[in-house]
Amino acid sequence: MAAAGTIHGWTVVTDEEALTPGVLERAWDAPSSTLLAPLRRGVDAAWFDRALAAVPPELKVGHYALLTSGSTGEPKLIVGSRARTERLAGVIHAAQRNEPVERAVVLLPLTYSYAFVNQWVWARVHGRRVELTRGASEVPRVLELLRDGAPAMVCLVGPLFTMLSQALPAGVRLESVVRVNFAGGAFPHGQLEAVQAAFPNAEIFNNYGCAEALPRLTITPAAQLQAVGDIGVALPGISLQVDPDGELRFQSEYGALGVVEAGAWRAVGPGDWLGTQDLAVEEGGRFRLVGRRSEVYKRYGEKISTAQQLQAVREVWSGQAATMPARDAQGEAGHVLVLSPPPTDEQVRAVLKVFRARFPRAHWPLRVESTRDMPVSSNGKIDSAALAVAERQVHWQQPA
Amino acid sequence: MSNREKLKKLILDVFLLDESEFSFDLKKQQVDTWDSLGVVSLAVGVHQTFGYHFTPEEATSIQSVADIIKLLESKGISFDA
Repeated sequence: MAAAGTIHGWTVVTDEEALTPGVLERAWDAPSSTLLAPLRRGVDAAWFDRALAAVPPELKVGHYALLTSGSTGEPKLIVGSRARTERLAGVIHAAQRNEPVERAVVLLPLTYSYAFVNQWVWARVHGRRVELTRGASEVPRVLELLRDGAPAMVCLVGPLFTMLSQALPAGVRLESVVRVNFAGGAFPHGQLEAVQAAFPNAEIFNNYGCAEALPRLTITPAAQLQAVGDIGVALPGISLQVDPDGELRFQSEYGALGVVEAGAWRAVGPGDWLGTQDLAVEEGGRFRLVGRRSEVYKRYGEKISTAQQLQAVREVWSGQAATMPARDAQGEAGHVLVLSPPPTDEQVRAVLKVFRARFPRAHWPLRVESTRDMPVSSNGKIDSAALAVAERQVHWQQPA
Repeated sequence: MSNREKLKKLILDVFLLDESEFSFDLKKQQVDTWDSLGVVSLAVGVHQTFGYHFTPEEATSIQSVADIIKLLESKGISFDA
């Protein structure tokens, strides 16, 4: 894609350009709305031309748009209000007691709403310094930025922490970090001790949200988490509820104004409830995630939640874990559990013990496999397509 | 690996038992995971490991590891120590 340009009156900034100091600031200060665009296969200037043509013209000023994967895996454009998002930055500031934080060290691409809102917009609204990095592509520089200096805040996803901790020399601690946020997947309960050891001065937070929320719905200090999957309570200005099908949905005064999906604009009204795609239960006013709609399938008539299983596995396995769909010899749907790095026999037994203790047999994986390096995409999430073709070793399989 | 060792590994894998829970005297009622799907899984595992396919009646009549050995021995599969 060409350098920052204009499409249908929108200022377009690519994630590469956003790394250049001043580019994003100028785009955000300009009256025309801003599109923060990743450079991804299948998403090019022609795609943005079609998507932005669908956005109502009155949103060409004072707004912004980000891209996310739709429920079908097809990209979709999320359009939000700058003013709303700046208000949310204030809510995030209060929820995380961010007053002592002097800088945001950005490790994830700014085209992800998590890094963009929690760090870039927050820093802008509260007059803090932003230090942009290429994250996993320049780990030595990242570690240097986090070891010394003014009190810093980072936003991580589980696999990115694993990468950083593996690169951390023995005995070295990232002492300048005073706030560590996790989002973009299940909170890494199994790694909490390691996180606290790597960031001895940090308060750790579980951030929950979704793209249409742009992006936060709850923020919970790790010390207050009551169970695996606990996401706490809604932030001020946001309401949560579990619908009759078990899906968590929300109303937010900071959320998206609309979405362009499959070339069509879908407005979000002020009182609309939006689904998060996550399955949850409400317990005493708190919410606990129990799975993901897309991660639930039926096996021998039973609803299987792979997300729920991964949460349980993380209690005894501190490495990375993922599931892949598979079929048994009878053609019945099942899944494979993949661990990384390769576990010992004892560790495999510990994982299997969890399955035996917590889940009926129909829920057990067909196989437990491992891969030396879990493939991750640029945002640190597990790359399912690459995992499907990665070299894997079988540690256990149930005859089925 | 002897047939006794193969059977032990199969039982551990099918029912997710620890080594310490296993014995050749183990009975179905002592294993919480020896359920109806477990019976199917055991039958598939026996076929994959020993090449013998239990009939549905045989599979459901098995009440212990000793029953499995007795049944397979009757089909000419030796479990001599």
